[in-house]
Amino acid sequence: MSVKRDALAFKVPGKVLGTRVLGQEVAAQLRKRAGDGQQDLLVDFAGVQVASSPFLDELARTLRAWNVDHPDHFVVLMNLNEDVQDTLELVLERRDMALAEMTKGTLRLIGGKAHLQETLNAAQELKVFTAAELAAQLELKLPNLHQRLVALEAAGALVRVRPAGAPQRPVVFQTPQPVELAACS
Amino acid sequence: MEYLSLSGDLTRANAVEKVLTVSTSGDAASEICLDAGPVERIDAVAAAALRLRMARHHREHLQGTVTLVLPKEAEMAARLSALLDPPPERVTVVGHVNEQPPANYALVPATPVEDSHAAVALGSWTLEACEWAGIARRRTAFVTAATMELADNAVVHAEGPTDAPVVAVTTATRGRVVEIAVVDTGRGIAESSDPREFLRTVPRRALDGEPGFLGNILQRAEKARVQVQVQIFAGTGRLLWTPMRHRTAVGRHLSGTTVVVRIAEEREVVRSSSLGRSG
Repeated sequence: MSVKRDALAFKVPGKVLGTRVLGQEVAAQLRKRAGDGQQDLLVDFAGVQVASSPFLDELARTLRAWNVDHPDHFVVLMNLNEDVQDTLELVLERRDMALAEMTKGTLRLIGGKAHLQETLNAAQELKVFTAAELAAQLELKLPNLHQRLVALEAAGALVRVRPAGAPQRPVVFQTPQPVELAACS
Repeated sequence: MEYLSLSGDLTRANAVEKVLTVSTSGDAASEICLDAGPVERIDAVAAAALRLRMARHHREHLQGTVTLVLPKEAEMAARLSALLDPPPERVTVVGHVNEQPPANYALVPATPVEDSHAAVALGSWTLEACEWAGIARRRTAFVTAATMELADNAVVHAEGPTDAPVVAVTTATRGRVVEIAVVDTGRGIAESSDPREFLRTVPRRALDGEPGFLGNILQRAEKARVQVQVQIFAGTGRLLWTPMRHRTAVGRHLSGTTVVVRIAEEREVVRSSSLGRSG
């Protein structure tokens, strides 16, 4: 099964990004561009050389709020350099958050625990799946998978797809596909 | 005319204490002479404090002028001249600069930072200066972020400042050591009942996981492969803070708050300077 998705690419403006004030301004630009949230959100850091922790903290908080308001859409960061990744990791750890990031065609979590990355990797292989299918893939009991799915949804790395047909059909999940994301960016 | 005689060691707390004395003239056209002729040592704090004193004099004396006499010692004159280049309007620099300062010494000359956007602009300048100086990429990113956020911290958190904070950045030993100094006129810590106790809570809050940029840069240091030391002078309080430990002390009263961040390559040994009575 394949589910076609639309995505909006937001280019983070600038080469050197710092201060909460600028973080709030860029976050406001992002919210304006994202509009009513009918698309997945790709946040592109290409060209950003330095981003400080207060700046990233403001952006991360905005993305978390966006995830909560739009649970049916992915949020994926792209093209972060090593320094920005390290700083963001620190910020997300402090906030007990995770976000999905794609570099060179690979999707990974920043700020998440190792078992969440393992779950995301398995989900990536399945592409579209039910919880039972993912549990089988990971050799986990279904109840043990629940917290992981909730955490990946909060990170914007996993969405529930409304099943076609009868309402009693099991909920289907989907993860972002790097090839499709690259085409949208 | 006011005359301020500066001599000997014009670094760290000495620089703040000697340079940021109370003005004694009320005349709008008053001239002040900052005589640094006998000065034997300077650092980024000295340059930032001098730049702040110039701005303060111009604010207090609308038609006032400033004369800065450079140190007699040739290398000190070259260093101070580079750190105050270009001098602001209505400032005359007297003395000879017969030699060049060490390569890239004045990475960022003393710069007043009016608001958060100016702090970001300072960050862009710092990045270019680090790249020009050939500082390694990871340290460049670290120094840039630290300069920008220290400046913004002073802009945002200084209570009741009279003038914009001033930032200066120097390098030493071929860029292996970078020092960022931020001097502000905020009264929140300096005029509190116990500045030392106030400073003691800064590392404690970071250890408790509260957001704060100073705590963040110490955490980031390991990944950026640098050693970092933070010194704060505010009122009678002194704080020396490294990723491994922190200690506070009491010293002579200084106006405002001065933050110095020393960033060294991992191999460099960061030596703690004397803080007086430790606690």
